Amino acid sequence: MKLKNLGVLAAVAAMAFSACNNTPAASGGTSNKGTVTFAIELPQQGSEKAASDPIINGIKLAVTQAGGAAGGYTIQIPQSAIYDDALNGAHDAQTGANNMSKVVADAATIAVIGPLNSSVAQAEIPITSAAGLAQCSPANTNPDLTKGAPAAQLRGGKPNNYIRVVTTDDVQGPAASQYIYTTLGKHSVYIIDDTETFGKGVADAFEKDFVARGGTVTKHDGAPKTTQDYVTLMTAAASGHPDAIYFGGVTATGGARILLAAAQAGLGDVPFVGPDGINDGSAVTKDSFLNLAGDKAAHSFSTLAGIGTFDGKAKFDADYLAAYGTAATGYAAQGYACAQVFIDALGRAGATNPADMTALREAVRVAATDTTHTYNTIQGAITFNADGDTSQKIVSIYSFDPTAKDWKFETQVDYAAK
Amino acid sequence: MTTVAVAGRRSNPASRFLRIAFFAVVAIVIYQLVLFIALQQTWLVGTSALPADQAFPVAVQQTINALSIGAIYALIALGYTMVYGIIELINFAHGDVFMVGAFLSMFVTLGIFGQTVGVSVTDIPFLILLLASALIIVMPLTGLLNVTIERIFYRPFRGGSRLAPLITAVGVSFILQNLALVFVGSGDRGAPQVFPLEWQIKFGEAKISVLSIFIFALAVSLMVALNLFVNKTRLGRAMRATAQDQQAASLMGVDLNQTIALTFLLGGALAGAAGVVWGLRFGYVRQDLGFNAGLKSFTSAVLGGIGNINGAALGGFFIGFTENLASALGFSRWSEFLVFLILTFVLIFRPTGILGQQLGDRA
Amino acid sequence: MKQLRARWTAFRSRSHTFAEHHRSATIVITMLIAAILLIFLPRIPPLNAIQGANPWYDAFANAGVFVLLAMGLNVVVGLAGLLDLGYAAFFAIGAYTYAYSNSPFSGLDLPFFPMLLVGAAVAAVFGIALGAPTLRLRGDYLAIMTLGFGEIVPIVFVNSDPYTRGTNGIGGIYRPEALPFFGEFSPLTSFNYMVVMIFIVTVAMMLLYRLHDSRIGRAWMAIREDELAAAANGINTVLTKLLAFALGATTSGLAGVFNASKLTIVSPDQFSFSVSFTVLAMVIVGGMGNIWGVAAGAFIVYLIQVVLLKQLNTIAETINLPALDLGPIHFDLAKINFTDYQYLLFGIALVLMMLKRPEGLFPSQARRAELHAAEDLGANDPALVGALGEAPGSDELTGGSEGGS
Repeated sequence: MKLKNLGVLAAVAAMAFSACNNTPAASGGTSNKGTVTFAIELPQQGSEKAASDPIINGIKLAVTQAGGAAGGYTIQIPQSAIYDDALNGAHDAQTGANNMSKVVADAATIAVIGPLNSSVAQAEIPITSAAGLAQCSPANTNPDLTKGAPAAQLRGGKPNNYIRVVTTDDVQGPAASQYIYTTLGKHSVYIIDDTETFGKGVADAFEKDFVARGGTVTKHDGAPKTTQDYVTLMTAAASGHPDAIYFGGVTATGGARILLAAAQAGLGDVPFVGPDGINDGSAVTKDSFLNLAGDKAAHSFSTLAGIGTFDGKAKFDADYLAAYGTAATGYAAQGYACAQVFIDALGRAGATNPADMTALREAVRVAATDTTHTYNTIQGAITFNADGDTSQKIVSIYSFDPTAKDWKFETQVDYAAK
Repeated sequence: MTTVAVAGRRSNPASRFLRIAFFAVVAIVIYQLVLFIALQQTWLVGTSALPADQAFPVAVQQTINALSIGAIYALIALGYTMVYGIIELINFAHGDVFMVGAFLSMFVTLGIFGQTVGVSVTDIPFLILLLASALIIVMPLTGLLNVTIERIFYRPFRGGSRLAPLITAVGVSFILQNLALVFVGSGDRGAPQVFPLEWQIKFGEAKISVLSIFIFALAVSLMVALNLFVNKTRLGRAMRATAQDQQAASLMGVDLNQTIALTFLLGGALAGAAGVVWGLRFGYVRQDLGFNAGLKSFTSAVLGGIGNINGAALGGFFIGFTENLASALGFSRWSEFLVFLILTFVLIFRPTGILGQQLGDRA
Repeated sequence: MKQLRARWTAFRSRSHTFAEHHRSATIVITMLIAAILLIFLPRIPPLNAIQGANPWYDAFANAGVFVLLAMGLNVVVGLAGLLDLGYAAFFAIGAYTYAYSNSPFSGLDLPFFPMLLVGAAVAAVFGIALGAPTLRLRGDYLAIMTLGFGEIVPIVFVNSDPYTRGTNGIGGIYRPEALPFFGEFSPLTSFNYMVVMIFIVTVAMMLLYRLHDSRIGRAWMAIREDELAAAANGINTVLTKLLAFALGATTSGLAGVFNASKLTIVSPDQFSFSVSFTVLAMVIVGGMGNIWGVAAGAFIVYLIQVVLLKQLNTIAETINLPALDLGPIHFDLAKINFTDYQYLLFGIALVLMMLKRPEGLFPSQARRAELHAAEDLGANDPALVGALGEAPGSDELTGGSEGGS
């Protein structure tokens, strides 16, 4: 409790000197090497705010619970180090790049957590990579960020600095496909995506896997978020008599609208499955999928590109509730895990006694991307491969719980062995 | 600016209405046939091609869908076309007035009637009361909003250059959109679909939702009412006179300010009605709704011949059908592209629109 | 005191004379001064407290992109009086041109500086292709056509997966080749980008001023004021308008190339209508038709957007204000996100400027005199004041703003 107060004090102090991140906050006495900053870079407007807030809280919770210090350094997350890449209500790559150039310019910042969206990450990784700043995303699922030639181009010949604690779309899509095909036993599906990076990526991965399993895709439509008339689309979809609907996208790009239109077109009883983009809180969360869908969500399922149940979940949920007064939703645990990884890395980097902040930043990057180190995170023991992808390839499946009006954890699929 | 009235168009409104209705039915039947045939073509729609017995009900349902969205575009397009007809201004903010109408309707059903999102009303008298109140509250409010916009932002430019009010209109559109962003946020908001979606009429295999019929009927009756107003009343005559020649109308004792305000009032009220049915139909509202809907409605107005009330209605349905065709055949990714392509071609090859501009004779 | 003022007046008139006779030299000198200021400003308080030097240089370079965009749009809207609402499309075309010439996606690695011109040229071609058929139409149709074009271009990029990598966009774009003396281009040395940008802006400004003062420039302004009269005086209005439109597209394409080389990724969502709108707001705020004013307006508006509004957020969160709850409307004052208000502020600024100060914040003398002539005239001549004060068809910008109502 005392430590938590200290954290708040430090944050307030930092806010007062809004721009001077380097100002050493009142330290707990245990650390004497100085103060370092964990920066956060997430969109904080509109419906994406609902996804980002739990992550920010999760990160802060992890730092507080770790005693706000590691490797002899005090860790702070001043308000000025929490960046918002949203513009006009939605994430924006250019804004993300602008933010990152500020993040890397701050000498005290030794790690950054974010962003939420893969398209923003594409603009940010070249910057953090050039600066050798460790970056951990709690939510980026696009395979191109870490794998193969596209990722190598983002890094621009520099050693890897980017890790993520969630698994990729090429796992999330197939997980949904496996669930629909095997568990739900539905062998024909209608696919609709929002024509955006994430939505189309995950829908394509889904389609590939579903076809490989022997399933039938009645149709694969693309409806940009500006689409007006979803009822027409769903009427056309209904003519193919699909057993299930798979939506690639997020709530803000049409998740609930498609569900409502599907109900009008006579597809109300057909399972509606979507990725983590629609797993954005319970029915009381403003702007969330369940809030907009109301009772029509009865047959909805969502996947989450991360672990849904883990050993310390009950305690984590209780701690989170106590600290923030709301339930931990979405990627809160992933934010917590990112912070844990960096706290661990800072501990090991601090042990090497780096000469200055520049050396420390590099030491943290090296420590964080160390492929031989096993991290004991809240989500369990994980390692990162040379690309920065997590060894934990678990996708959780959630279904709609009509009594709690919230997502209910169903099962999780582990792809690590596959 | 002045167009000589075509003799036939000045004929008895009843027979004119019958003629329009006849053409509308013919157009609808043709569209259904086109869709019916297209849905069976493997070269066009690939594996989702349907056998004839299945294609027919789908074609019927899609036509009804097209009429619904077309009615919404048409209602918005009327506001564009009337305003353009009278002061030659593209009121960019008009689409956002529609968006405000959709939000107001949501507040009325949620706030005043205490409805919840996702729950429909099956008690018919209450449903009628609810819908009527929504229209009676929202339409005057959006009308007044439109009048206020004209009074504050457009009137100072009257008689001056056309560029300045045009730029101002773009600014007003952004202001409305972003006020909504600030007050209600950027995400979707659930609008209560109080009209029961289960109410359907079986037409062979096809199921036609009563809601679609309601939307279409409401739009058509509003259009007829507008037509009567413009053609049969003193104020309507003043509007036509002003559109034909502002100065001359003014000299003949027409109160310009009042007439222009009236035009904005009517346009705004129709956009408000479109906002009410939007929520019923699609169950959500968002702050940037007005941008695309406005753009498409404006396209409708141009398509029909800007300044021409019947043209705007026709254009609205045309755009609705175009979009519907693209979506129904699986080209939804390209539907907006198609709409703008049509706009481009119309503007280049027939800038006066399908029915021709009738700035003076706008009925 | 009096003496000082007299000297100041003398200095002003002398510098005005100098500026009029040596336009290019004035631009070079002013831009040099601006460059020196931009280099040293980030190191002085309070600016150095807001962010480090490199983020400032980065912001300045990005601001330069908008300065270029605004100067280009100014030719279209401000000089020729054509409303182009799809300006971002040409920005996108320039950016994608560079992406094709300098990315692993295409396998090409062409030099940056020539590509600036190529990107600009490609955008110009598209500008002409769009403008040629539409510029014959009346002005407000052009607005809606360009708006449609601005919507279409990103849709085409999104839906042409094999050629554009669709919605993912083309990433890993190569940065410009290292400069002699300045060295590598990297996100950590935005200084280089800023220097190049200052150079581009200087050159663009000199060229634009040349045109502005030339026969073509006068033809543009004649069309803006009264197209009919201009045509009657032997000006080929379609060709002249097309030139303005193409020139705007060219500048936009140039800015696109630069931006792509700096951001290293192009994706369709970067080129939405809000970009076009932002640039339009910059032109209006800076003062339509006034090249210096527009450049300064763009620079200031951009910095307000990316620096000031973000700073305000931090301040608002420090002062803990209570929440406001009005049923469906929930308003948490402590969590006001000022960046949410960005476009609202732009909209208000744009409308206010149009209504109250159409000559912009930094008016040129000539334009100011032009715009307020009607007013002065109206004040002296009561016959002109009235409901129909201005003759219909007079294309005087806001001529009736005071006299008409």
